[in-house]
Order: sequence, then C-alpha cells, then structure tokens
Amino acid sequence: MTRPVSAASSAVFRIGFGLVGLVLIVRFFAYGWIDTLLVDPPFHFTYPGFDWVDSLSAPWMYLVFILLGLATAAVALGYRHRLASGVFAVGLAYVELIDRTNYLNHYYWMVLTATLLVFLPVNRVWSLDARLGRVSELGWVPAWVVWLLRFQVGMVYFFAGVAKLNPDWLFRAEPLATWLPARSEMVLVGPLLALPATAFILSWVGAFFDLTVVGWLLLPRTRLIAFLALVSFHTTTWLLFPSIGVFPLIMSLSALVFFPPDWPFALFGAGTGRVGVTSRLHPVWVGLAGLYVVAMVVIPLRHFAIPGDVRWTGEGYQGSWQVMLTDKTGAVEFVVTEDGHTWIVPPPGYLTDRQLAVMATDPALIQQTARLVGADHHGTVGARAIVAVNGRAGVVLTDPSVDLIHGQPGVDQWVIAAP
Amino acid sequence: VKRLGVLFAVLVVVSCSAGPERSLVVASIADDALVPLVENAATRLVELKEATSRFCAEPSEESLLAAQDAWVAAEDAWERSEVTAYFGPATMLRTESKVDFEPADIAGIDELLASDAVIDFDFVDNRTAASNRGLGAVEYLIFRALDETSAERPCELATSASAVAASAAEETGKAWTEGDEAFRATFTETMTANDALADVVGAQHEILKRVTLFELGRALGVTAPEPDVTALVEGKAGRGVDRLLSQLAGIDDTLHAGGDSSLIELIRSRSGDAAEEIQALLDGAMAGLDSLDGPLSEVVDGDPTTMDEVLDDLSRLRDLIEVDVVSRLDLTLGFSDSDGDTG
Repeated sequence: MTRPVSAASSAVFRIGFGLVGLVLIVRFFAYGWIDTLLVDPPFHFTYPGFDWVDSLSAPWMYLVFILLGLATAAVALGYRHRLASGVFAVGLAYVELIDRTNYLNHYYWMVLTATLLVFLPVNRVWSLDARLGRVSELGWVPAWVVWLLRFQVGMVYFFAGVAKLNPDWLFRAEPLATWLPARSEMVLVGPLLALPATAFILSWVGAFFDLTVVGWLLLPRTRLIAFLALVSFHTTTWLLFPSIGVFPLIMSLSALVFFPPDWPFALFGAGTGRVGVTSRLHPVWVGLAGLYVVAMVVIPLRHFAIPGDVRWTGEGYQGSWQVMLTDKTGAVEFVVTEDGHTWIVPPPGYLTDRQLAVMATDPALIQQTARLVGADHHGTVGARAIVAVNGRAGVVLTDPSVDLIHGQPGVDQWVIAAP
Repeated sequence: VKRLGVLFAVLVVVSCSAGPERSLVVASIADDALVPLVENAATRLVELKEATSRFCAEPSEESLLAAQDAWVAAEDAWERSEVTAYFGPATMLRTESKVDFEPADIAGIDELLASDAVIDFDFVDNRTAASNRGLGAVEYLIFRALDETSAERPCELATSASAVAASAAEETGKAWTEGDEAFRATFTETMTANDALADVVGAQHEILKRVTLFELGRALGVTAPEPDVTALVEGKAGRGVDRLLSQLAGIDDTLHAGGDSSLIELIRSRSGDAAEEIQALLDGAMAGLDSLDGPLSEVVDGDPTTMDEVLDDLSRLRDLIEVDVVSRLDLTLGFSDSDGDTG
C-alpha cells in the first residue's frame, strides 16, 4: 500500500471531481435552485441534531455558492487543493443540511469525496500548487491513495447493488416497471420501454452490473469493457432520467481511477513520472483511513439493524445508496383534537410543492410537519398519510390516533407496518 | 423465422397490455374534452352577455327569466370547464379573475353600485376588484325582483360584468386553438405527454382538494372545528349542488375523452382496480349530489348523511388521484424535474 505509483490518475480524479463540482454549482445558478430550494421556502426540514442549520438571505446564499464555485475551480486547478476541497466539503454539506427534502445520494457522495481529498496528496502533478512550488512536483503517490479513491467509487456501486437485492426490484421489476412506460414516447427505444419484459431485463442487468462492476474494473483483462459498459450504463440512465443531474458524469469520470495509475501518461504518450520512495504511513493516518472505510461500510447497512423496511419507514435511508430504487408517492393530512373537537388540517400552505411531495412519504418529515401544525393549536396532532410504494396501491402509512407533538413517539409506535 | 415471428407476436401482445399511447391520450383529452369545454363556456358566456343586454334594453319578466336561464347555462358550462383553469391559457390570461372569482364580494358590489363611478366595460375590466365582477356578481344582480334588477346601476354592472366575462372566455378559447402559438399545439406536441397529463391530473386534484378541504369539509365540520356553511360557494340562485355536479362532470369528461385512448383507460392499463374505484367514487358522489333537493347551504343541514357520503367519496377520490394515479403514471404534480435533481 505504501509503494509509489504514478500520481497521474489521482490528479485526473481531482481535476474531474473539481470540474463536475463546478458544473453542479453552475446548475444551481442556471436553474434558480438557490432561490427555489434554499432561500425562498419559509420553512426547512431538518436532520436530527442539525436543526440549528438554516439558510441565509439571498445575497449571502449567493455568496456561498460563488465561494463553492471558486472552491471547485481551485480543486480542478490544484490550487491550495486541501483548503479548496475543505471549503467545498463544508459548503456542500451546509447546503445539503439546510433542508432534508433536498437530500441526494450524489451530493452526499461529493461531500464525502471532497472531505477525503483534503487528506490526499492529489496535487503532485498537473496542479498550480506544484507549478507554484507550494508542493514538490512529484510524479508519484503512495498506492493507498489510489486504492482509497477506488474504494470511494466502488462502494457506491456495491452498496447500490446490495440495495437492489429486494423482492420489488428483482421479482416485480419496480420501480422501473412504473418509470419506463412513462418514457415510451422516447425516440427509437420508446416502444421497448413500454414492454414489461424491458423493466425486468434492466432490473436484473442493473443489479448484476452494480454488484460486479468493481470486480470487472479491477481485472486488467475486463477493465476496458467494464468501463465502456459503465459509461453506457450511466449514459442510458441519464437519457432516461435526466433529473439525476451530474451523477452519471461524476461516476463515469471517477471510474477512470480503476485504470493503472499511470494511464494518463500512457494515453498521452508522456513520461511515466518520477518514481520515489515512500515512508511508512503514520499509524494515526492508518487508523483514520481504517475508521473511514469501516464507517462507509456500516452506514449503508445500518438500516438492516433498524426494525422495518427502510423504503417504508425511511429510517436509515440517507447514506444507504438506495439509488433510484423506490418510487414513493403520498398524501398526508393532520388530525387535530382540541377542546372536544376533532378535525382535519391540511399541511401548511407555505410548504413548497417539492417539500410536500417528499414530506408526505417520509415519517420523520411528517412528524416535523405535525409540530408545525401543532404550533397553531394546543391539542393533539396525529397524521393520516397514504403512501403508494413501487407501483402498489396507496395504503395508510400512519396511525392518526397517535399524538405526534407531545412526547417523542418512536416510528414503530405510529408508522403502520409495510404491506 | 418462425421463432422470430412468435417472439414478435409475444411482444405485440405484451405491448398491447401497456395501454394506450400517452400522446394519443393527451390529444384525446385536448380535442374531446378541454377544447370543447373551453369553447362551450365561451359560447354560453356570450349568450349570457346578449341576454343581459336584451333584458337591460327591454326589462320584462320574460327577458329577466331569459337572462337568468342564460346565467344558469353559462355557469354550468363554466364550472364544467373548471378543469382547464389550472394550467395553460386560463392561468396565463388570469381568466378566472374576470369570469368567476369566488366568492363574490356582495358588500363590495353594493358599495360600487352606490358610488359615483362610471360603470362600463373598461371600468369593470381594468379598475374593478375581481370579487366585484364575474358570474358571482351577475348572479347577485339578476336573481332578484324585476324592479331591483332593471335599475340603471345594477344593469350597467350586470351588462359590463357579463361582457367582460364573455370577452375573457372568448380570448381563452382562442388562445387554445388559434394562431401559431395555440396552446392546443403546445399541449399536445411541445410538452411531453407526461407533463400534459400531470397538468390535467393536477387540475382534477386541485378541484377535489378545494371542494373537500375548503368547501364541503368546512361546511360539514370535517376540516374545521365546527360546521361552517359560509365556506360553501353559493349565491342567490342557490345552485351550489349544480356547481359541484358541473365540476365533477368536467373531471369525468377528462377521464373518458377519447374512448380507448382515454385517461381512464391509461389508468386501467396500470391498475384495473384503481380505474374501477375512481369511476365508482365519481359516480357515487355525483349520484349523491343528484339526489339532493335544494340549495347546498340547506341540504348540508337537511341531509347530512348524504353529504357526509359525498364528502367521503370525494375525499377518497382526491387521495386516489394524488397517490395512486400519480404513482402509477409516474407523474409529478405541482413542480417539475427542473425544480431540482433527484436520485
């Protein structure tokens, strides 16, 4: 792990990551999401322990995004890359923590990766840091740097594959059986997408791909084909589901890290870089790296230790790489009992349509909304939510007789078991 | 070749079960429901304008009755076209604010009549509050005794308000069908079929949400601590029940337009149970309303059992559309994919 390998592939990883990060930030400006997702909503749903995180007013929020844009550019250029990566990690984490309804798997992955880059010497070549003499322009990095980046990319596929090993995905081809027919107007492939068999084929191929692609990428003989398959896979998902944003781009570029570390030199016919000798890694760093790897394995699997189906209760969902695995649609109303009267109250009108759509299917967010409703009443507030999951008929998700605002009822006390 | 033939046949059979093509469903809804509904509303509102003008020119019991009949026909047609009010030309032109802002502000109308303002088309079109014009104002002005109705000021407001409403409805109808930027073409060709379907399903849901949560629900004390009949939208003509029936008929129109290429058949292709339940609930609610006799504000108290059943049916229908239909057709209501990444 400490043997020196070419620094080229890790530098390309840094450059690609920075550029895609910049695209991500530009998209926030271009689509007006800074306002619609962060500034305009008068209320934001919070994560446990992070209810102190709030959005800023418009000029400051824009400033945050300008700073994030500069940070991503600096990462790509390799200018003060540790500071830039840190700023990007903290800034994007802040943006993500503002409103839980904005959670996205690939934002989470980018926060983790930016954090990782703070600690990795990925600026030894093709960086302003090296050019300006801030770091020695060395053509090599310890092998563990490349392997940690490979782990960072590979875990997404593996755990996304594990998450696909569920009856809905394998035996009902859901949610693809719901999503694909809605895209049957697409040129050329449209009629195929309407066929039930297509959803089944893609579901199984998708699960097989996610579970095994890392292995194929690691094997020299299959690497190129696996990479081409990976790019095709992501291109297809981007064409079918354009709203997945930069995820296909960042994963396709990041997968280049599975090629030999000197592949850029080999590809562009340049030298292989100077090879040096590395010293042993300090035990503290070894420990931290080990902790990180363990955490990245435990976090996606933690929902197995929580009673109930993660796709139904939402408990343990974040960070579990349930990528495009669940189609959930819901409606919720609140039951207020006060002074001997019981009546139904709709969710507050100031929640955005997007917040409403996400909230109505997530028990934790329903409970936060119940508290909002309860702020206007002194009685009890229950929730009556109906949710349809993966093509099934809508069924009752919550027990409306349980008061959600007094005490802290656990999810198991008011979320009805999955059908 | 034989194997390929069998495979092709299987694919054809399997693809048939996928239901009607969404673009055909959208075209059917546009051509067989939305455009006819909008055009019919415009025609009836023009007839109301003419009947009101005739009455004010030659006041008589007969001409007043004719104006009232024209108002009833116009209101039925307008309410039936309510399903077109939440997207397209009606929202761009803000048609609702000129034709049927609810509820009418009776005190404001009386104040206007007592003022010195010159009441004409321009005044009503540009300088009058939405709640002081439209079908609600015309209803208030023409459903009363002949001498009150034929007085100069009420007549000026009634003719001007009905003329403004007719003009707005005609403009909306033309925006659907005429010119290079006709919304019918946008709806059926430019927009994705899913976005167009989301508009229609979203409109159905909005109507049901308003009726169940903010009108009937409040009146029956289901969405308010105590029953509150003032939440009902019903004027002097006492046609609250007919208004609801017309709105539900509009929903029914959009579900069935196109026969085999209809929205209900598309839903059926994804879930036969959901399609059956939607139809049963809609039929049940309409039959319940149809069985009522008298103004809505009276039957809420007089026949609470039927009203509770109607509310239950409509509430269930609202949830069914918001959850099951949206889920099975993979629609997004209220916001679009460009409102943020997913995944």
